[in-house]
Amino acid sequence: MAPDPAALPNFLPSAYPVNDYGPIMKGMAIGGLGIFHVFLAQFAIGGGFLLFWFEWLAQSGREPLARRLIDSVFRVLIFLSFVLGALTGVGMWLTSIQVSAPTIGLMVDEFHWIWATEWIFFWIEVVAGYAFFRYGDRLSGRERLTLLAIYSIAGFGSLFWINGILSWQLTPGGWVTSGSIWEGFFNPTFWPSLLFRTVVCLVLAALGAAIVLNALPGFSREERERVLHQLSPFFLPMLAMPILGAWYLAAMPADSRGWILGGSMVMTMFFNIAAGSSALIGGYGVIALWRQKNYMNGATATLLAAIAFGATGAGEFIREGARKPYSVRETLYSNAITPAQVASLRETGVLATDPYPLRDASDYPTEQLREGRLVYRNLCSVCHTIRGANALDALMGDWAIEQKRLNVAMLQWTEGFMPPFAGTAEELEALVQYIAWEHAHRPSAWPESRDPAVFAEIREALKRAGPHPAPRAQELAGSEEAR
Amino acid sequence: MNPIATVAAVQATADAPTSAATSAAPIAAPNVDTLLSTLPTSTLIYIVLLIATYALHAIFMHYTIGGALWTLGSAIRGRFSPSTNAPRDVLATTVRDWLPSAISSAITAGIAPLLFVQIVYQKSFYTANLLLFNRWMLLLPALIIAIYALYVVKAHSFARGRLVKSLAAAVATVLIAYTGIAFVENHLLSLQPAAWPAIYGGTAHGPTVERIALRFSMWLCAALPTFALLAAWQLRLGAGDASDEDRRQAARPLAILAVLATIAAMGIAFVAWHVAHGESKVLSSRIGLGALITLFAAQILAIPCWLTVAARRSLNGGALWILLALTLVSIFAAAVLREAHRLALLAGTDAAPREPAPVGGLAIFLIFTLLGVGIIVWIIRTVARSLATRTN
Repeated sequence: MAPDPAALPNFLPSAYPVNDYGPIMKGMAIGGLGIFHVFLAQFAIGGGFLLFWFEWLAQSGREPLARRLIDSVFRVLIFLSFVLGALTGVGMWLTSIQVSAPTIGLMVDEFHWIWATEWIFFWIEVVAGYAFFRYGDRLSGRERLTLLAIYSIAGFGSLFWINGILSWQLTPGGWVTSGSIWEGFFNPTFWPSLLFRTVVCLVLAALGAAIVLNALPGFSREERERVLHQLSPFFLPMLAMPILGAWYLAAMPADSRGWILGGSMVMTMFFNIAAGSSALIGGYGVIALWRQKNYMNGATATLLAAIAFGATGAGEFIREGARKPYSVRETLYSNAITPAQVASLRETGVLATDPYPLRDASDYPTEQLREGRLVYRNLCSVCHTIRGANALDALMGDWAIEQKRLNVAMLQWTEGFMPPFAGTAEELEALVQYIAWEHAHRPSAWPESRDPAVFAEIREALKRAGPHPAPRAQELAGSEEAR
Repeated sequence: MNPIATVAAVQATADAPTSAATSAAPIAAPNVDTLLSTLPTSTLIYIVLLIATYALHAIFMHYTIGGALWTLGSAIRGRFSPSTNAPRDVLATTVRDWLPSAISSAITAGIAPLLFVQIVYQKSFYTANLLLFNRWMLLLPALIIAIYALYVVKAHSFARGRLVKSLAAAVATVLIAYTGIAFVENHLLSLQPAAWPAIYGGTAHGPTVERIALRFSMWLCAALPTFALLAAWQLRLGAGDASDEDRRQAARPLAILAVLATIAAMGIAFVAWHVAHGESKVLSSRIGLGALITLFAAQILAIPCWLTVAARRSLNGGALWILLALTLVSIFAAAVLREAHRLALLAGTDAAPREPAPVGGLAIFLIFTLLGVGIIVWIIRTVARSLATRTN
């Protein structure tokens, strides 16, 4: 059986202090850094293959000019990948801790040997990379080619390992029942995700090399055309992208696929941006560059790289968003509550285990509002702000108070990608009052709402909603109706 | 006495809970030997891995901070500016040229202890991260800017002026030091579980500036002899096309640096011990005392070795081999003492070391570790052989 996260000591959001990001949604912090890191890392991985290819072209005499590009591209790789790429990678870990310590904690607990293995690949990449960078000009052709092969394979290896962990978050596969990390690692979206990302790596490397080529002095127009022609095969795998994308979509859970294909307009929009951008780049690369052998100047290459950055961002947004309401499918909700904990937290309350006080307790006129703020901090703040991005004030501030109570109590029914509310009726009322108070611009006086009849209504609504997430809840409701 | 030994010895005091934490809930540190005998085997394995990988990280880290300081001094003296009439300084240029690689290696080496600390001390490490928040996260841009600044110092094609190179080296040194300070504060904060809620609420303070400064300065002094040794080995192995005369010139400054840093660390350790009155009981355990004795013994032996290097003005004798062995032993023993101390302070709290659930993947890790070490050795040997062939 998979380990029950509820049994682990570090679960529940209240196990850790929570920081307030003001108007910034926490997902924006991890997402912004993540997109940047993924873009750089994929460029570096593709860059390894591209350099190997160019070294082979040079050594085999097929394109002697290729050698002139190698050292410059490699220098860019070192400056970008070994500095920004490496540190944003560490930054992803540290930012994940800031955003959701229980989530990264679960990932580390389950996959630490995979991460440790990836670490070995990092070492091989760094040693091979610096050896080539520092001494490449003094090595024989065979040694240069071998070093680049090692560098490429190590780079791809790091993608291979991390891809298993990231795809596990969306589709944990057999791990959910067996607890086997290999069933989790080679999960249903592992292969389409790995192949898709590999294609992206090759394209990013080609675009990066095209930018470098156009920036390098000493090449005539004809020479640049010749070298560019050697880059064009790196765009060909994009022809497989629609198939790989469809495979990925088919392998993900039906509800996640539903958000992307029209269920959530934001997700659908990002999906279209990613698909459209990829079609543009692929179209240019395959038709203009490879088929028609057109020239690509620096401005065009930079523009296409910028579009690729946008596509990467949209793709990562979709990957993250499709997991909702989970951060690890069927195991951990976005707010670090486990499905198994919901029912018990409705009895004991989410605040019962929170040792961390409010930093601005004196700003709230009543104890109930203080509780409401704490409930917001524990259950909502990982995805929402009060008045900034994805603000609760904007989303539900105008709702009537009864509507707020009902919609929060039946949260997973209100929005399918929301987790069920995991607190007591009193905590729910405190949250509702807090949001109403914020919406009223924090007046100095605010009546407490502790009517037993209201609490009874909330309890009834919570009971009707059930403790399960939306698809499961619907499934259960359906079977109940059938009975 | 070895500064590393000194650092480890006074960690017992410098790491101890601050007055705020102590007043919130005094922690009676239990005997580490007893604790270790009660820990599950899996937890012990992860602690051993944490110690081993931390020691590896420390080697690169020491070179980075020591090298940054050395490079700053060299830049100020105009060693990298062709416009000045500074004498040829192979040591300075070698250190400068290797610093970006060293810091990259330090970051890469740091990933593994960062992983294992999350397994054993997940709660304390995560909580310290969260409590430090912006100050902690700032280390990422700090390191990025530091590395690019080091590339500016290294660059031949631009920024040749002494002022620009000195400024760039100063920026890099300050930011690397900031990273060290952030890690020191994070570590100290992670040892105060009873005080976390009060620190979060603003009614108690985390580690005091004095404690952070004390520990950081000890750590800094501990780094310098390791840097001196690694730089000495670089020249001995021919880095920067060093001649015998270059090695002769470098031997004495490096030895003096190592000895002075040791003395400085001893002084700081004495002050730290005096101030904290030996709050920790880690030295009363066999493992703690054993690690400390190992450290002291190793470093007492290291001092005459460095003095021999200085007296003979030579980096070619057997002294460097002995110093290498002593340094590795010292770093490992210091890491043991560090973890023993952490164990003692967190035992009995809800941030005590965990027993991770058994998960698969260890065999794959071991296989690829062997493969990876083999490949790395092959790369180094191939490059060295190729360079030797070309030189001859």
